[in-house]
Amino acid sequence: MPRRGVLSTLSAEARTLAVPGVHARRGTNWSAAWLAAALLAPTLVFLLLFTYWPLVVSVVGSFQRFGRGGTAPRWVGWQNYWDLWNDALFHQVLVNTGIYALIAGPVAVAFGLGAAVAVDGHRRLRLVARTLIFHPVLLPTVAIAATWLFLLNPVSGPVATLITRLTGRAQGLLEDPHTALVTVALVAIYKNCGLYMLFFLAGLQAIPRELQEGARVEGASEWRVFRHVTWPLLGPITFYVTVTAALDALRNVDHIFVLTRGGPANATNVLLYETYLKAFEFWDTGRASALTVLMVALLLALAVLVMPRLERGVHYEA
Amino acid sequence: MKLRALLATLILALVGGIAPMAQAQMKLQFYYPVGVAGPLAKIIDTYVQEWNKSHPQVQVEPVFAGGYTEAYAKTLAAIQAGTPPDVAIMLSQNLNDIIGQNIVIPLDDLIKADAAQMKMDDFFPAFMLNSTSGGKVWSIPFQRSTPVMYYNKDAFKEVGLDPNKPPQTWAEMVAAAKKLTKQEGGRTTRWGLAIPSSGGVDTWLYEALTIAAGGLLYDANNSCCKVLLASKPAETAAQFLRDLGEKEKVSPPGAINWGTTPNDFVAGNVAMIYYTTGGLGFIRNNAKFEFGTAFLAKDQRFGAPTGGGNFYLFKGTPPDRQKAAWEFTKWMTSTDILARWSIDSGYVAPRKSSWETGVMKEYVGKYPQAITARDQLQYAHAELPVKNIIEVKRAIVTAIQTIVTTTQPIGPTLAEAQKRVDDILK
Amino acid sequence: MRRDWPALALCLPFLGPIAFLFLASFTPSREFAQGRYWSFPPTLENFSQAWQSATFVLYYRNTVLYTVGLLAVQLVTVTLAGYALARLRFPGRQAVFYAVLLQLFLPPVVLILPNFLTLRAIGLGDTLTGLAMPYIASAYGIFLVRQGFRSIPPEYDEAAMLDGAGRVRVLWHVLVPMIRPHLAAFSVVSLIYHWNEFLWPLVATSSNRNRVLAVGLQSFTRASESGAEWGLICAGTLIVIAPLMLLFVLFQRVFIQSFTQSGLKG
Repeated sequence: MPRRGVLSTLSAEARTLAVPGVHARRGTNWSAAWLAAALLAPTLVFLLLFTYWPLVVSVVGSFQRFGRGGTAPRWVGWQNYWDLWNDALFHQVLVNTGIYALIAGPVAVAFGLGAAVAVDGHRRLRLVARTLIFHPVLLPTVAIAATWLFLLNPVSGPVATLITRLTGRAQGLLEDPHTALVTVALVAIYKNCGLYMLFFLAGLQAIPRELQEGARVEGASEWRVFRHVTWPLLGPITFYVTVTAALDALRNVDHIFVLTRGGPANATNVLLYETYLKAFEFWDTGRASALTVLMVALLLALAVLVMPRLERGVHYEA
Repeated sequence: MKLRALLATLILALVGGIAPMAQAQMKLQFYYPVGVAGPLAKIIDTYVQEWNKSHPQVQVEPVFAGGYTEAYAKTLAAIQAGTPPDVAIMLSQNLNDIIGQNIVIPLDDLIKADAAQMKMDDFFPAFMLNSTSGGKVWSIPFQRSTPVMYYNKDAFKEVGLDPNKPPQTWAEMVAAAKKLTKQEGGRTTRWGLAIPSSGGVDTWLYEALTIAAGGLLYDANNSCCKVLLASKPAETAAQFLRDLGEKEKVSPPGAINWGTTPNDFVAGNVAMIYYTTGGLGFIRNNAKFEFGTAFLAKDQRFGAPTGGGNFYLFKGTPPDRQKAAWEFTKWMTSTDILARWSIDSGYVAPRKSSWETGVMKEYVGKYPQAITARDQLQYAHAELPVKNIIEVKRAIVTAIQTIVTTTQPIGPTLAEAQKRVDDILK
Repeated sequence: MRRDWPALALCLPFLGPIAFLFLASFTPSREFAQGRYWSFPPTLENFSQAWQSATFVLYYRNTVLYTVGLLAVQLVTVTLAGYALARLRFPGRQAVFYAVLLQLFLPPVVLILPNFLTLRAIGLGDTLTGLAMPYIASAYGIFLVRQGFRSIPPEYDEAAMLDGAGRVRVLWHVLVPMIRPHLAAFSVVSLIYHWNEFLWPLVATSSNRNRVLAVGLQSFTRASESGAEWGLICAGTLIVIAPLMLLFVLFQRVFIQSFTQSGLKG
């Protein structure tokens, strides 16, 4: 028998007012605020320590130069930024990052979409294909990279051997500064497109078949069906996946550690990798902080563009 | 119920993370790199196990830290994180960098106290070049080397070259390489010469070429802080390296990988290679043909940089651990261990007395290839010793890789690298 | 079926690498120098050497402790925070939500240098606990949980509370079970992400004692500097990914659903 206390004798409106936090209609609800503070405290503490405080540390650090051995820092104002601005290597890193993000971002999304379209609708093959294309998502990037390091090695790698036989080029893809960046981006696509495919598959399945059938019945080709029915309806998913891909392109450099270490001749050196080098191999804390600040600025710009739409979420019955 | 499981896991995680070092005996952390081919990590482990068996109170935990660059970066990172190793092998080349970072201790006092066992004049002077600075001894040579040229004697015989007369000059070497390069059906099945320039000890062989061209990659009067890239010998060396692949077509195109070179040699894919004497063990065990070693060919002069790693002890280590680490260091750099290590690996035993031991004499009798590096010591120079060495090397490697993989003009490329390095060394 | 070939064509590049990896790990290393990438008969020497060369058991232990321990804490923090943001009205709620959401764009790995310095300053450098700290606040998890709570009409809360239950009990006994699928999806994604994590552990833990699998594997492959022993490297890679592959094959549906849901569920 549910306990019916004093609350049940009150009117509906009075009841809701009596329960803290819910449907508070006027004024600040302080007990809700205290409760919220308590519930949010752990999250906020760690958020502050490891997301927001680091921003301060980076900004402050970027205006200093540190002795390489951890000797006392000294203020240099904008010198670090100025040095980066004048540094050809930094320009190269920026260009590399841009090209890489383009390939591992939108192109990867296109691959994911293509895979979803190819896989969708085949009952038997679908499960197998989906499993195969998705499995790299579950594996460590360094393992995928190690596999491709082997496959592409010019002496004994099966893929390298195939390429040599087909094109006659003897130099490995990872050893040639003209092809290394694209190759590294392709490995990233290999790792991620299964995830993007999944999202698109869900999106494709949510599109009512009648719409597509209707268009086909009216004589539209597959391409027109896609272009005018499917593609527009995939809009929100495409947006979400592209943002995910862009973020991943900027923050995941694990494979570079295995495949090329930023080489050859800095051909695969991207922003986060150079930041790592400056911070943890050269111990040039000042310039590394400046790079961090720049990267944060880039990501914040992305966030401002994207977050409002993201908060609304992507509502699909998947 | 779920709450308990949650708590249990949480506690487990915390315990695992802050796992305390409650130990009855002392456990020393020993970081070491392996930059050469072969199962050398296992051999180091064997020595450490021997020490551990005979020294139950001071156990040493060997930590393989990767190749030289990686191991150095890891050691620095550990120090920065507040958990430095007790003893580590680091490149002798990193000396100025390490001193500048103020993380190691000079060893003179310890040496003086153990003068009987640690007679420093037992060590070859060439190896002490990268071990001393400002009149003090900072590290003890352990796995030292110079690059040598390995050549395939069977291949020499095959093309009509005298297997006992390896080429002595650059011109002779290129001529021999041309004869040795074999083409079959449009593909090259054997290259004449391979001088690696990527992956691992990237600037070492370029240094060797610069020395052979009559110069030095750094200013000997300002050895901590001045690199000489925009100089005639450095340019000559770079041009030579490029020509091997592009003009003479005796080397594989592009930047040759250090790690795959000994494999290529023992597989017969390349007839002559520049590689460290530390690879002698690997090559000896895997080559199915007769091979020889020779001095690096000269252009203006014979010469080679020394290389390899020394033992370092760290500042801030508590005195009792430091004492134990010193004992371990002395043991590992003793005459007998150095002799065995040299035999097992191919590194040059840095002590003269090691070459007088029975095992060594017997070994050298069987494998005269082992003496080449030792004899080349008379022409040896210190390896690039400047500070901020990781960043400097990366800048130099970028220039070299640009030179061998693209057609950009050499002069400006080196000049730009010179500017960058000057900036780094400011 | 003519329309089958694109899907088939896609399967090949995703099957091939695993197959080659497998073959190569049973091939003695000296074969690779000859230009071959597999040979018959198979050998187990690569596996035994790989097992001896690296302390894989230790790496597994560390990785388990890290991922499971972290998840345990995350489940608590995201549930509490998600509830607060979904159910409680308080001044600044929207601002707090955006502040949390921003973390999606500023992942700890981008702030790798200052986070490293912070850990060092509080004395947790080179510990598994320190490694986990930046992730205890998980914007991703909070987002999921909040969405989950918001999809439950507030009438459920009210009804339960009017029956006399306090907020905490309502949360624990009524609401949390209703968002179980969200928590499950989050758990799978968090476990996988942190199991495979590389760059942050690389700098946050420096000694072998605290090393995780991904970092151990990378060191292992860079041993290729010393001779490009592909058989060995492939064997090591296989040792690291085999359990994951097995789990995936057994629990395909769980993984695929979790990842799909995680991105899309509202």
